[in-house]
Amino acid sequence: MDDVISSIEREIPRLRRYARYLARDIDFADDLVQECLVRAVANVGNWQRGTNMRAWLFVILRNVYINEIRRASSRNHSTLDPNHPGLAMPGGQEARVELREVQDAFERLPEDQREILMLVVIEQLRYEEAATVLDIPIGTVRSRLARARVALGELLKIGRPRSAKVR
Amino acid sequence: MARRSSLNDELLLDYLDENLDQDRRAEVAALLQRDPEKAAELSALRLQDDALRSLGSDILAEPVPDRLRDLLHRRTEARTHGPAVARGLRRGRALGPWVNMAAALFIFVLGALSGWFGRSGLEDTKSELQAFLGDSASGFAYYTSFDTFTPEFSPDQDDRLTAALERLFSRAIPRPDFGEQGFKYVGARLSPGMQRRAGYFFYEGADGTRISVVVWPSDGPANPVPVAGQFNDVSTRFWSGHGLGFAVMGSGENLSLDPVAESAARYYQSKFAQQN
Repeated sequence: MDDVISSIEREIPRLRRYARYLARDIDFADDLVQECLVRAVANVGNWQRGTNMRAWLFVILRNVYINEIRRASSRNHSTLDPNHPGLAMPGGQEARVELREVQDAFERLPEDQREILMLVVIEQLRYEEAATVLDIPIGTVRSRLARARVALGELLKIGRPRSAKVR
Repeated sequence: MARRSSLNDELLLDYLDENLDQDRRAEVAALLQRDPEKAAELSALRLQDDALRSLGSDILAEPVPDRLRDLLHRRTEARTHGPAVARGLRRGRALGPWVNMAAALFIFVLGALSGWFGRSGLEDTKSELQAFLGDSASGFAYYTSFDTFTPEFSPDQDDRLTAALERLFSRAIPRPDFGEQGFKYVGARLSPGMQRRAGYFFYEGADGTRISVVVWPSDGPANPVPVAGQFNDVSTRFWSGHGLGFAVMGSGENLSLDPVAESAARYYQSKFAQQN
């Protein structure tokens, strides 16, 4: 049990980052993480050893977030508020133009594309784990991820796969 | 003549995301060596991904707020030792007699329920039930601590609640009326929970005293007589039957929970007996 709790504790920073992405508001994000931890400990017997703890926690966190936004419509996460940091550039360093462009381009993507990049590229979940978090088929993960990369590339004019022929 | 590449975009992305087995990965690597254009695309995508991963990296570097670490350890202790004991441990002092008594009382009560912990689809072990009721009591204490109670389903949303309960439990779950006991219904919350789905009905008395009825799936043997339990300041009476677990929770010096629990137990016995 101690090792499982330690595994949960190690994921707190990433939970906070994903929550910050979802919620935009720092305090609300940490409230989401708090509720996620409560539910995780209460249901820790349900986690299967050998599976990805991060993915399991992300499922809980996302469900907590969805329940909360249903109750409090004033926290509309789909509204991009430039005053909220969201996933901001790393602080305390001079931001390079390229990275600032990446942030701007990321924020301009549709929500579903931002979230798939968040889970697969940034948080490095496997396709099937992202599918579980988002409750969508793996095929949808693949196609959405491909479209997201194409869209981001076009916004950035950095990389551009030849086509977006995805199912 | 240049060899025609069989690298399509999907395969390239699988390679990028390490979604291939070792043999296939080696094949793709060999193809990339012969296809400079695809190799350049891959490099560009990697640069893009690396840039994305820098987003929010400062959040990872932030110290974890104490409240999150403390909560995790407190909840873990409560799960292991019981909530009252955890509270004593958290304060770092010798356990007072009331704490030992409260924890011992609850454990004694649970131990008296022979057959309650029979094998069920939800693995109703003593510790899991205790943890669930402890969490429910904590939730009750939290949600009723606000001057204005804000439910997930307000009293005028019965149709929506009915549909949501049916979806969560795959059966109709009615809620009791405690008008005779002086409590009016003020709303409900649902918990889709990874292990335990639960419905929470909240009521309020004229003096502001709040109580809650908790319902959850439980396919162990029926224990129809409400049994007393205590989680810090929250009193509870719990029982089971008809594939469900029930609890009534409340706090307050002047609160008499037994009449409410008995009324709820009779209500659900009557309701589900009609359905059988």
